[in-house]
Amino acid sequence: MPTLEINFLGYRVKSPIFVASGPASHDVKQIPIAQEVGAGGVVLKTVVSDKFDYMRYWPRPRYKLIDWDKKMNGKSQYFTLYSYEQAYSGSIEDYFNFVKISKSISDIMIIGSAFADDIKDWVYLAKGIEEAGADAIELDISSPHKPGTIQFETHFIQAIKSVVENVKIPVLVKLAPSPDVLHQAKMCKELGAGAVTLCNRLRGLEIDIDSQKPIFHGYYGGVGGPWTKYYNFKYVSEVYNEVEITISATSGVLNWIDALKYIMLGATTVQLLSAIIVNGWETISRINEGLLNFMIEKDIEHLEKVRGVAAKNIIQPDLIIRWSGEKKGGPRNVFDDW
Amino acid sequence: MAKYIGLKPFPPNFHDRFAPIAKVIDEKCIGCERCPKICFFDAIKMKSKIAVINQDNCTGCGLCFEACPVEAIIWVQDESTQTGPFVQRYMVKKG
Repeated sequence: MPTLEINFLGYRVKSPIFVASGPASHDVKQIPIAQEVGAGGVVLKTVVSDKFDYMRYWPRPRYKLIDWDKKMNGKSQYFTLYSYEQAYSGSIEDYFNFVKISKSISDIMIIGSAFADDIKDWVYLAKGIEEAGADAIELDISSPHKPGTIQFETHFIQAIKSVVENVKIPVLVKLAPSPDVLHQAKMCKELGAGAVTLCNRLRGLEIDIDSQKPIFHGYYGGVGGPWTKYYNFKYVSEVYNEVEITISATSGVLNWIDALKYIMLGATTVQLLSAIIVNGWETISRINEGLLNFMIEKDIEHLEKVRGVAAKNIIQPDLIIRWSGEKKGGPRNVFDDW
Repeated sequence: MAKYIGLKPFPPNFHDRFAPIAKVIDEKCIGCERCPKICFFDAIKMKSKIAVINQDNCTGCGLCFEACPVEAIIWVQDESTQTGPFVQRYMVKKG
């Protein structure tokens, strides 16, 4: 009988499908729901250091579905979720309690998530999350709502290093989609991170032409949606091929096919959120079911069998089959000249 | 802008002065159950085939506006919010 059970950072989890950090993981009440629908784990909402206290207060409204067809009742395949998602709304102590209670009421993997801009705060948050009982910690260094202009090279390398040195639980690093992903993943591996999460949402902007202002609150928002999967497939395959590090893929997963594609490109787990927002919690059980059906159909016992199979099939540009004697370029569709 | 972000019944800068929360117009609600499914704050329940919003739980995130196919949800002032809008200016040094 095929099983979805996998090994992730030393833990046995029931499913490779995780709930990503965000509105689906900001409250203890949501943890049992995630467990019930069959999620392998939950990445809790990001907690910030006291310096970013303003991020604990949320603007209203915060979400806009662009190009979302309401009439289709969740069947839309393409849309953009424009959001101004902020940090966990309680204090740091509340967050540690949140982790502790989440862990005690469920048996799925609980991953804490943190953001700071000072090494001391990073270590304080990471140690607190570890003591509260989290199974792993995700360093959210790439949130589209991240304040300031802190760069990977100048600050985050030091942050990852000190967190890895100070906690015993595995550390995931959530990277932003950028041409540096491969380099950053290599650095994460060198610094001792257990896994990389590929990739966060992009920072974007939408304006209204009547008021000539950005929509909502007047600042950049985060953009994401099913269209992001194509560039993330590339990042996942690239990192899988070149860096020996566990990959937790995220972005643009709408159904089991997307999740399977990420796994075939080398991801160990797949995190999703936009699909849960628009299609409900049952998305996770539907994805699990789809994966199992696929495994039964293709007689695959374990997802380990298909991990990275597609990433290995990527060939180098000089080996692509090309044809000699191509015609010279010219004007298109000038049939009179024939 | 007002139209675009669903603040139609109110002046465009409504959300600068009052904390907005969602409210269902009973006559327009068709009972499609899309808004209780999309709400992450446990603020919407169906009662006799009409969506009812628990104003204590509503955080004004705007997702139910996106889900509603008949524009049956409007913004109203959150009377439980005692304090004014929270604005904190911040500076981040470069480098």
